[in-house]
Amino acid sequence: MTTIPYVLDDRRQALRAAAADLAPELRAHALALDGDPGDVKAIADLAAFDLIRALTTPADFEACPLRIDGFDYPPGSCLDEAVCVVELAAGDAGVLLAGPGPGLSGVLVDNLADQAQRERFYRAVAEGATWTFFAVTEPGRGSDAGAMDTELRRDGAEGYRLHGAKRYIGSGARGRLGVVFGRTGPGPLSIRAALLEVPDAGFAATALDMVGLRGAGISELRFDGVAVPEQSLLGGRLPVTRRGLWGAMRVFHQMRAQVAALAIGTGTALVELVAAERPGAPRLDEFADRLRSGRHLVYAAAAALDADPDDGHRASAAKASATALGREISRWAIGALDPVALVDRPLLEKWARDVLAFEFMEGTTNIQRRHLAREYLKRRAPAGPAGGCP
Amino acid sequence: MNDPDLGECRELGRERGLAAGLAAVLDGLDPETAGHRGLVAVPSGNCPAHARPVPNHLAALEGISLLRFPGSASGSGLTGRRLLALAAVRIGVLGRMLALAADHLSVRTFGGSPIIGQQLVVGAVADVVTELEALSAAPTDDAITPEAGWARHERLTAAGWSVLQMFAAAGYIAEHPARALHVSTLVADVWIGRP
Repeated sequence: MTTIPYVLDDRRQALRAAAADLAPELRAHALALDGDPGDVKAIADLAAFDLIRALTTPADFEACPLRIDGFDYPPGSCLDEAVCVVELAAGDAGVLLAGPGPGLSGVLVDNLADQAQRERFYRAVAEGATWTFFAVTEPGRGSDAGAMDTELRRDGAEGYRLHGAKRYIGSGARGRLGVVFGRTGPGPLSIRAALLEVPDAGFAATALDMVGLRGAGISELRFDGVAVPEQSLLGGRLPVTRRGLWGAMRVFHQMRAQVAALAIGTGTALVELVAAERPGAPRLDEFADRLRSGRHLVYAAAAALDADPDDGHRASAAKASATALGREISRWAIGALDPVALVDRPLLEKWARDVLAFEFMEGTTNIQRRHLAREYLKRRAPAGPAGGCP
Repeated sequence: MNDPDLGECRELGRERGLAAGLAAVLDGLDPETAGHRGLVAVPSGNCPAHARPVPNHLAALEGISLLRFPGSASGSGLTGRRLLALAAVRIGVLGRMLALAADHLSVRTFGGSPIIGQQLVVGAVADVVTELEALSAAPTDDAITPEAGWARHERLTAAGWSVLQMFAAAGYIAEHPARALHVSTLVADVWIGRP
């Protein structure tokens, strides 16, 4: 395997330091939001969300372009975002995911939308505390996006009606707008993405009671004949092979790098908690070192996606590796401390629940393993003469 | 009951769930003196007036309460026979959840094929079955050391995580029956002393 070089130069170090400075404000809200994930009023204006929004909103829609210590940060860099996400998640991943902003839908809009759709989406996001959702996963379908049942049924010449349900959708019940995938016909190329502003009729959203990472506002969405005008379908100007799931795959690649960043950040928080409670705890140095390695793999995965948005295999490796490490650290942390730390340091118990969530986001470890093996087998150089081992 | 029957505990965990099994494990034990610095996990509905409830949403849904007895002297948690009894309950819960997971995987498909037939999943099921057999055959010597006791419960936690992965995101919803595995881990983390 080759290593993708990336540079954590002064510019990115300044970004990283700025994000680290904002982590405590996320942590300050962590327990309250875990207790009542529906109450996001208190966090809507946190500076951390401004930082992420500035990194993910195109310059023509961002009123306050990001500038730190004289450095500029043009939006759209997966590596810049990953640098921030690791630091902010070390504050609290649940609060970070509770923030308003373009989120995953923004990545898809950037890839598929025409100018009018971009205007519509980013103007709405710029109006202040606007949450967005990205609705692909369905009840009973999990990672099998190609088998989705949600339908975009033709409704006259002007548009479609959306019928179906989506599940495990972040900020689904808080979102004012987002992107929903559905199929216009039976084949894989018939899967399309629609920009949807939450309508009054035919739409229902329910927040799900989750085990952890409760700030993410994981929800179920139901569509019963929601009107979708033709001009809301994304990717109409693109070849048919690039209108639907291709865009979703690009979003998944990016999100895998960011989920890995969330896991590394949460693992870092747990190690810091143990270090504070029990300096010199066994394996402290080992886990700190493995987190540094994990951070570098996240950066490398993000840099690879900046170079080629379809090159997602390092993101799969980063995600599989970081989620396993995060959970391992959570078990070590609980074992390293007295049982009463579970209640005296309630973030320990919370983070031990939160860290499990990363396994189920943007493809389970088994899905990442399939990607990794497939890519390796496709790229590998022959090891010897044809015919295999003697 | 002062000497929990391990077979009965396993059956209780499998057939009646974690809270019923925990009740059998704790039968005859004074939680106030047993818990680590007064922290205990007990079946809900048994909260002494001087105990302070520690809110825990997930445990409450499973019928289990965390309590803190202020000023309580430091107990040793569950040791010996009761540590093994809690492990037996957790084996029962794990067996029940594995059966549920197998049902779940049998009806779910990926790429048009049942997930239960895919090699990675078959391997994961086989690993949990193996671990269940190994844990069920583990020594039942009451003099089990703190190191061995913690390690045994960690193996149950790891096997539980493997089963939770089989449910995917569905097992991460608080109302899902797999919640028992999350709470089973929490109960062990509260009661079992660190080596």
